[in-house]
Amino acid sequence: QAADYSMRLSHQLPASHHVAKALEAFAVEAEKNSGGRLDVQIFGGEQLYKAAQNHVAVARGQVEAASILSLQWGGTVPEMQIFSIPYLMTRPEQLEKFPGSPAAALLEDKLQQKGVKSIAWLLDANDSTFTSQKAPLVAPADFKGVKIRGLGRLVDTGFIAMGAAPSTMPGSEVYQGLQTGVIDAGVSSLSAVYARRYYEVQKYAVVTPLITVYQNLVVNPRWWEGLPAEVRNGVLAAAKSAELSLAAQGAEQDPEGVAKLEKTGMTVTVHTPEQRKALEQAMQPVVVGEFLKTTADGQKLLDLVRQL
Amino acid sequence: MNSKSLCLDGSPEALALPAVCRIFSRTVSAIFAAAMAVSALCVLVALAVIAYSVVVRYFLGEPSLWVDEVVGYLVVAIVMFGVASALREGRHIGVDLLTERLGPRGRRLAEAWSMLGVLALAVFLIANGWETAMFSKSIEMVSQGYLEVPLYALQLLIPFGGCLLALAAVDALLRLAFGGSAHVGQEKH
Amino acid sequence: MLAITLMLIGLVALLLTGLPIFAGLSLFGGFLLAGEPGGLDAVSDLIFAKTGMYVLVAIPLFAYMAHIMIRGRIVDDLYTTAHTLTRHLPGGVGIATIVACMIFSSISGSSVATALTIGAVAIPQMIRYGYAPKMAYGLVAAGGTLGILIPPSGPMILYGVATDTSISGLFMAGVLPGFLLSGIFMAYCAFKQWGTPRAERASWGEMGRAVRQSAWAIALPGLVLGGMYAGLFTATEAAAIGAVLALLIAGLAYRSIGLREIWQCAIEASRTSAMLFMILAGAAVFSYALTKLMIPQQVVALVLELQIGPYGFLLLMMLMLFVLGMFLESIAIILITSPVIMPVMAHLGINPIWYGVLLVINLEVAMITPPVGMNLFTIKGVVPSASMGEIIRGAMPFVLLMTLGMLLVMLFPQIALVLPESMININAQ
Ligand code: NA
Ligand code: NA
Repeated sequence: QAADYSMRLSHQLPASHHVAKALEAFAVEAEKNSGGRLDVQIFGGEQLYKAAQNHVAVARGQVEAASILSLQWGGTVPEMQIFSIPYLMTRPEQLEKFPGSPAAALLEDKLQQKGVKSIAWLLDANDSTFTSQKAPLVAPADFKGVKIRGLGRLVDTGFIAMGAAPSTMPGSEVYQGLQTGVIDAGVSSLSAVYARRYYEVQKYAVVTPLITVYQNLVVNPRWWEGLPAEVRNGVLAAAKSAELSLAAQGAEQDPEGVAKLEKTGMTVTVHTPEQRKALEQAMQPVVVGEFLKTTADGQKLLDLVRQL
Repeated sequence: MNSKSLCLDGSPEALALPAVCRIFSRTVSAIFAAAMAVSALCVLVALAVIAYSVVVRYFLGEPSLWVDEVVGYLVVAIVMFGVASALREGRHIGVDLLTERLGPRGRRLAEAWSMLGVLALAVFLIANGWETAMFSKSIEMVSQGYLEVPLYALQLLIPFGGCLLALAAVDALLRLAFGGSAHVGQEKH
Repeated sequence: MLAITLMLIGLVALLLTGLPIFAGLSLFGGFLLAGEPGGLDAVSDLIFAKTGMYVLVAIPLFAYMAHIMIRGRIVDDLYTTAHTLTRHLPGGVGIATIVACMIFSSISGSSVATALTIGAVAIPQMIRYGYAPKMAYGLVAAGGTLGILIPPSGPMILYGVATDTSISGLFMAGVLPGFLLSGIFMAYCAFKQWGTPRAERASWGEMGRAVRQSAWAIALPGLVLGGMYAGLFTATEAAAIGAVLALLIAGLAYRSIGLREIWQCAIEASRTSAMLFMILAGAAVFSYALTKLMIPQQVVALVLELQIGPYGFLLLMMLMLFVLGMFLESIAIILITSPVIMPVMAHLGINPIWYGVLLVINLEVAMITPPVGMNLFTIKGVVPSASMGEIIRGAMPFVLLMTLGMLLVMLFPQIALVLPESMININAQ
């Protein structure tokens, strides 16, 4: 009764996260599609590897698969930072066209060069939320002198351009840092503000489509080539349904999430198109400039994304 | 390790060691003194860097975005430069519930067994650490964070620590073989 | 189940041969992984990821602070004052040590950092005032574990994020059980030292003079705590600030240290940290092997299958956590067990904050149970002349006392829940 092939999948998310749930559903469907020949074991919540280790673990075949955040590739695949360019591709109609596009193919090729094969683009979030205690961060001027927990080198150049002071505090210290006021503000996805309970220590939330976070479902290429075609197609089909189910959730700004956050007592502002535009003009040019400086195929990718 | 079994005068001169072993032991001792100094320096640098970042944040309002990353690597360096010296001085902890009941001969055998175990691990760390670093190099991994340092350069600290550990284990085994003690009293710096 | 038991017995047997713990854990983990394709590849990655963590720097820095305080004779002053204030009480110096652990716990979120700092400082002093070494080791090993129960607490944050539980609520919920355990330790200390001769109570004037004399030494934790809660620096940065303040006080106010001591303390701190971090790395390799072979997951599944009410379930969970805690390090236990048992707890209607506190008390016990008990190793690290056997025997009574505390929190959930329920509005549970 033991399956012929096993797919061990590592990810960093708590079990209640929407992508973690989509991966659970993927596991069930992939096993079903294989007619019992494939066994999928999920190791979630960093129990096996820390987030930063997943890439190497898959590339070297320590596990067969992992789900990796687009922010996590850092300078190793700098092109993946395209999603972190403020307001560049956060609109639902762009995201809908993205998987299967030439832009996606270019990035998949970059990942392949780094030893992993991407089989799905799982949409994690396209709604960012600034949280703060003293005053809401709505307009560029509000960021002046604010100590904010940054999002990595690229996006942080945009914060610096507005006069904010980004910090690189480790995730485990953020909650306490916000509580005691070592940092004034944070930025994460709407659902993460809720899941990480930042609302307990922050008064204001400003929801805006600042960046997009994808998770790539990546597999070890040698293992992938070794699978029989039927099993591989079963996995691909399951991956596609996971991709579609998450894309549907990201199709619109989540009014339910906003309501849920309001119920916690936070004062929530949803950016109007004008407010969005103001922040875009303050941040995007600087970040694009930095992006082009640090990537080989940056311009090409930028052009492809702008065609979406 | 039980310090009661620690030979206070572990200097190679005090033992009837062959000349080769004596030179080996003295060289190892010098290497470890240097490694320990680097490890201690890393503690002071980490201290200075963090204190500096707090001061700069409050008096100049400037963030120091490289601090977390640098401090993380300093911690790896503290461990890898310090691990072998700690072994040489018998500072690594083992469960001595049974071994403390053994006679002198039994204890020496137990110590030799311990050092063989450490040697096996050290050799594995050299091979595996090298492979790991070379893999990172082959796909050009860089560190996550502001500095984007080539990761392999940092990962080489692991096989380096393995080399020091292997030296310490071989040195201890040689001393045991010629009637000395596995550990050396704390060196004066 | 038999295979798992055999495996754990194998590890105990290996460690009993006296092999250094870090080597024993890594080699045994490697042995378990050897059958897995590519299983051994991850070892260096694991060690690099485990030791290359910014937050770990608190340990060498607190160790450095402790050594400066000792060499600079700040500690002598503190303990002379503590002795003057408490010499008429049974177990006075021991009680003062517990109080020191409680104060330090509210700065640090780590039990190792607490036991390391207080241990280096307090154990020689307790022995100076006539305590049996065994008692001194056990008291500090156990007192140090308060670091993760009294807020702030690293493991509580991890549990809160892994299970979607209020972190502020957990912090609040830890306060009273933390005081309860401290009270139990103090009572035990007074009971054990009852027969020893006591001095006459110091006069108010004498007490005032003693406090004035050690004003700088007392100001040190006050400044660090104040700065942290005022938001001037994070818990990790507090370690660096504390070390800098200790340097300033010893160098300028006491004029008791020079460059030579500054350097020697750094060597001492790096040696102790290197030793402890190698054990953490070894523990990471071992728990990686167990996780990959799905062993803890199977144990949890076994407990979950049994159909028993909430209390039966809780008791069984506590038993399982105790066994896992003998072998695994606290972070691994949280990451592995929490996600799987959350749904069951929701089903049985068990309050996740209450369970979180019980879990943390279990993790505290885990730190002082052999064969893998980080606080036992920490005590050995700061008192190299002690034998492991003596430390373990010294800690045993405290395992029982902590179990007693845990039972009280199980029987009276309000000990944990009264503060969070009355002080914060835990929305959207
Ligand atoms: Na604490
Ligand atoms: Na334990």
